[in-house]
Amino acid sequence: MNKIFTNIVTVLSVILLIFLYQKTQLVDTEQHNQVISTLGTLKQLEAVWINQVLHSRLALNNNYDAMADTWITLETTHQRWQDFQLKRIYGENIAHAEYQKTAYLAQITKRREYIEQFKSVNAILSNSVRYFPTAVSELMRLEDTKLLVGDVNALLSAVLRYSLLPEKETQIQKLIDNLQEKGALSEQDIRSQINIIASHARTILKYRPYIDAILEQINILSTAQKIDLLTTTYVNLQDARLNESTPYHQMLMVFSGLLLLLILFIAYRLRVSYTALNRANQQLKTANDTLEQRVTERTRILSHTLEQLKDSQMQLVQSEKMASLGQMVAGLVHEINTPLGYVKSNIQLIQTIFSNLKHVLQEYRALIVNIPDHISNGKKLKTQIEEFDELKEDDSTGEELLKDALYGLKQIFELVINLKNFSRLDLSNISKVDLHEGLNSSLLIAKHLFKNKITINKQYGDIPKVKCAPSQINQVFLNLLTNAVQAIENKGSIIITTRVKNDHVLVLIQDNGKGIPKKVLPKIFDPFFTTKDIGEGTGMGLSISYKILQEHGGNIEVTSQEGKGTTFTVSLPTGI
Amino acid sequence: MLFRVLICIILSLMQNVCAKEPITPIPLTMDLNPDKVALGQLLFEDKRLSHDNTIACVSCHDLAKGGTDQLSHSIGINDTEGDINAPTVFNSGFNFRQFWNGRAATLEEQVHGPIHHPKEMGSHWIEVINKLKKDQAYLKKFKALYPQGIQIQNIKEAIALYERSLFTPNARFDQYLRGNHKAISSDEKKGYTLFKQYGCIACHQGMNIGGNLYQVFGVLNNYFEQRGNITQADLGRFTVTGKEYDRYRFKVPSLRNVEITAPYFHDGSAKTLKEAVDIMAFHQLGRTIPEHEKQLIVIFLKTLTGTYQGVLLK
Repeated sequence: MNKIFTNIVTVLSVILLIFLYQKTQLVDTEQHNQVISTLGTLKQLEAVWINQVLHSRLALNNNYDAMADTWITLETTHQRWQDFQLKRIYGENIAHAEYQKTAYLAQITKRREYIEQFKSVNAILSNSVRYFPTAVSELMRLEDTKLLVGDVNALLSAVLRYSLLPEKETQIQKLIDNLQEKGALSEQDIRSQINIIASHARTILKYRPYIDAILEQINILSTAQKIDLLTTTYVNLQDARLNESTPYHQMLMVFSGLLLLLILFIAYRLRVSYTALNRANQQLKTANDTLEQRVTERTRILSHTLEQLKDSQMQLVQSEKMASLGQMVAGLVHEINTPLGYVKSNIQLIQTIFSNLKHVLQEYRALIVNIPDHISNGKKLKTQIEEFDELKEDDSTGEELLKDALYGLKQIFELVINLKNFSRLDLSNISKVDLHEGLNSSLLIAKHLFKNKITINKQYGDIPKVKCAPSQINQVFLNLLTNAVQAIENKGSIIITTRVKNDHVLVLIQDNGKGIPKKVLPKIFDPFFTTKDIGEGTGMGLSISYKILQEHGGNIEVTSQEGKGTTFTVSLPTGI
Repeated sequence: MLFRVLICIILSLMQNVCAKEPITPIPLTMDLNPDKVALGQLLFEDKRLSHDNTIACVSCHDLAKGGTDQLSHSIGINDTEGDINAPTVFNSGFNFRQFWNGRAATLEEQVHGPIHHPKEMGSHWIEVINKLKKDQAYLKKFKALYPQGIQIQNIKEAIALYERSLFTPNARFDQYLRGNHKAISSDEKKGYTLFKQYGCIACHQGMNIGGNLYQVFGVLNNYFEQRGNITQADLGRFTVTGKEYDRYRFKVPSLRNVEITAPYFHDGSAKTLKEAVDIMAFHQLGRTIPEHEKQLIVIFLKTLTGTYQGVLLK
């Protein structure tokens, strides 16, 4: 719909533009100027022409070439005038101008006829006038012409005057007749010369007024006024046309201005579109260029995500395992705790009893010396007491055994408590945890690994409690301790340091074991990465540890020197 | 007193006349399109322009015969004798009108005349164009020079251009006019002076020594009455304008190459220059010229023979 509208507007604009243009083109100033200039040329040429006529009349021109050339130029100019498309220049309403033009052309044709006549007559007249004095002197040269001198001279002066100025013809006619009368009786040659003189005098008499009449006609037929009138007519026609087209001119100006603005607007829009397109193209190009790179990137990210997903899955499995273990341990601890309690108190009771019994036995020993053997039961008693003496010798032994038993029980208690802690922490999600407590329980659990070869050096600092999932953190510690132990081949030590750095609590677990090869170091947090034999390690430990710390907003870092040892630094934010 | 003043005026006017020669030399060169001139020559010499393919322009305007046929009256198709003497084609471009009676304003306009004249070529444009269009060479040549090809206007233009190229500069008299005083002999100079004195110069002036005005044949003595047997052709310009004034009025012919264009006048009545000078002196000037002066005028007239393409005409 919009498109149709635009098309209609465009077509209408073009039509209007053409219409206005044509209307303004009514006025063809250039052509008009050429017409006017042509008329000016004509007028000028005619002036030149007439000037040439007068020059010929006064014998200042001695040939008619110039005059003939002027006429040819005039004809050419007329032709140029005829060739103008006057109706196109001035419109249909040029009847009056055409009439004037026809009148002019008729007049100039007539004038030209007179000029041609002038040329003929002037040739004859000038010839006779020029010859006349010669003719007279030729007569005078003849013999017996003295009588005629007066008449001839009178005729000569009269004719010459007459040739230039208006004089009375009758007088000259009389002079001619007079001369012919006087010569009638003369010799043949005199008479014929007189006849020649008379003939030329008559020619002058005949043609002088004739040429004057012709010149007068030429003068009367002056076309200058007609050309002026025509010029005025053409100018008026042109003015009329100008007046007619002025409003169209103004409209065309306004319309053109509007169109120009529209075009500028469209141009601006086009430019904007173009820029946008260009940019889009550029982007597309860039996109194309980087597409492969991005695909690679994306693939890498995807595979990374997949790995993470696998990690998560493994971790999930692991934590599920740990959770189950925790529950089991909790149950187990509870079951063990009860018998352990009464075993412990019973042994303590036995210890007390054993101590009392020992005392009674000493008393008995002192008494038995005094008892004779004959007393029926004396000997038997003695033997029994001696047996007790053996016991006495082993007094310390018995006490030691009980002590050992108690110590063992105590150790069982501790283990149980630790197990309890381990599982308890696992059940509670997040709580404020004393990391030292976690470290200790981990150390206890890992204690069996230390045997005799490893000394633990605790350098606990003053650290605040940290919000964390203790079971998970304990798992980390246990992991790290296990690794540290495994790194130490013969004897060694593990230094556990805790301290606060900025808003993080740091736990450093440092061993002086074999260290991690540089090649391997970047991979140690990768899931399933292990240097251990198949079946010994899962390769999940460090990766799970890493994951756990990540989730706690903390971190785990490693520094290692081959042959010198490894330090794992666990940092946990205090704020959590 | 007045008489003396007049004489002075007349003498000063004559002085003026003497100061500037009434005859001017023909230009040595002309700038004309050579291809069109060549085409014009082909047409000029082509007999197909006549009805029965017997007459070409050149038939009556033979360059070897001074641009004329040297006959009193030309012979047209079917051996028909024409009414008038063929004027020379040489220098016709300098004439102010064409034909004896000046009925054509230009050479272009003139072409039409002989082609259509029943006693000359007796043809018409349609016939001519049809013939020319059958000629591949013409088709090609016209096409090369005129976008519209073979057309009346173009035929006229080509022929006229060729005719304009037929100008004869460098006559001995022209050399004299250009300042070479030895170009003509003293007798010839005397002849020229007589030519002027007798008044021939009144009509025979300008570059073409004539050809730029009309004049009655028989100004002072009626030529036709004496000759008798007046024909249509003798009426001159009267046949064009119908005005009594123009009866016996003709275009003054050029005297260029007059030596080789006999016979003279529109009726070809004068067989020799001497005869022609006689007739002119008597009928136009009302005089008789003594024999020796006539001789001088004639030898002057012979200095007017020019060259065509560098070769003196014969």
